[in-house]
Amino acid sequence: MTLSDLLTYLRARKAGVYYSDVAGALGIPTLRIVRAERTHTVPNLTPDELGRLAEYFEVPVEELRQAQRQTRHDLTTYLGTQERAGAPAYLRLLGGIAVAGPVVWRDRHAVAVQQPDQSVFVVYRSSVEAWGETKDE
Amino acid sequence: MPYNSLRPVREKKGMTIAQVAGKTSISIRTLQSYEAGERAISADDLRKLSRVLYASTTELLQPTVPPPPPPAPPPRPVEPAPVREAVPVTPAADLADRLPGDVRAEAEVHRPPSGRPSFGRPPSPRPPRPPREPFTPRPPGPSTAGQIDQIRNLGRRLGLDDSALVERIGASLESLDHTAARAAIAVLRKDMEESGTWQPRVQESPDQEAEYLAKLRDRRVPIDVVLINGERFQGLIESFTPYVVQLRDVQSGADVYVRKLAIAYYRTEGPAHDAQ
Repeated sequence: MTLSDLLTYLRARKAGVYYSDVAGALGIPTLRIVRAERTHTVPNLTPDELGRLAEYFEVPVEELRQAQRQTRHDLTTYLGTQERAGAPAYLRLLGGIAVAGPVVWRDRHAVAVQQPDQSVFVVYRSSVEAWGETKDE
Repeated sequence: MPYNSLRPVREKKGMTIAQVAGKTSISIRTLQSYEAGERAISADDLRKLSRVLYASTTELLQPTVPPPPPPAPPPRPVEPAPVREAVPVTPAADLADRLPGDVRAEAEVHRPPSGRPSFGRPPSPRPPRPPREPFTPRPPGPSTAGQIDQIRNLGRRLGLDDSALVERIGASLESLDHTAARAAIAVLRKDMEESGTWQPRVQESPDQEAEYLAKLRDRRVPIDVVLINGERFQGLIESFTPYVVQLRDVQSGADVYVRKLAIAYYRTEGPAHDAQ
């Protein structure tokens, strides 16, 4: 999971706190939190800010550092490439659920994947743990 | 009409009537009539003149003696003609008629067509322009450091070492000028695109979900929503905003408002061809 999506997930898990709540509690400007969730590149959060975020969300700071190794753009590029090629996208969600299928549509928050029974699975990016793996993996 | 002090004040400031007219938007003729005492200065114009001439209205309206008329030129002493010649003195007006024909024609040539008198020397004819030199494009400048860095980066991403890069470009990096460097970058980019190493940036659509949710709502397609904490809700979409979805349970009719932030995923129950 990218740091951008992980921060969204952590906000949701902490009773859906708003950007301003996080910013106020940590003394970080609200705009930096917003940008960290929305940027396509690696969020430019300092190690100190990462430490404060980890403490606030009650997760190990290493988890945030790990998420910082991938950019939001990586998942977007994968989905865009699969969509353009008409190839199935493989997504593994938090909780171990795997979803695979052609991309029907995608936007900033979610991606819709068609299932073999023709139903549509709409996955929010904040719940995508990994991507690009085959079903067997 | 008493004379005012407009003219002395203006001359003291070293301004001409035309300059005052340009700054106050009062016509020259009106200014002349003010200075000559033919008209009283209107209140509006007085205010403008006071501002432009840096003088109080009282100072401008102070009566003065009229300027003396310009002195008449002294009459030319006419020397009495010698008696021996016995030529009568002729008036000046008659002299013009006595000019030779070619001299009068030349005087007419120098008179402007509008009939106004010409001042100064007549304009001298312009010298002919030298012929223009044929346009020659400037030679391209040297390549920039950024271009060379970009070529090296593209070569590295293509897996080309320095010798292979020089062979692909056809010249050494140091010998490239600005145009050749740009062409080399274009060639390497095309190579990368063809090899699949480089792909154009994929954009994120701003909002596709709203359209999809609207179709599900309009076609009464039931959905199964799972939140990040594992809770499940099933029902029909009654309404939605960018942040919240309102679900109505089919059997009980109860409404549930779900924040999108809390949703992990949702799926249609069965085929959803119509909603795609």
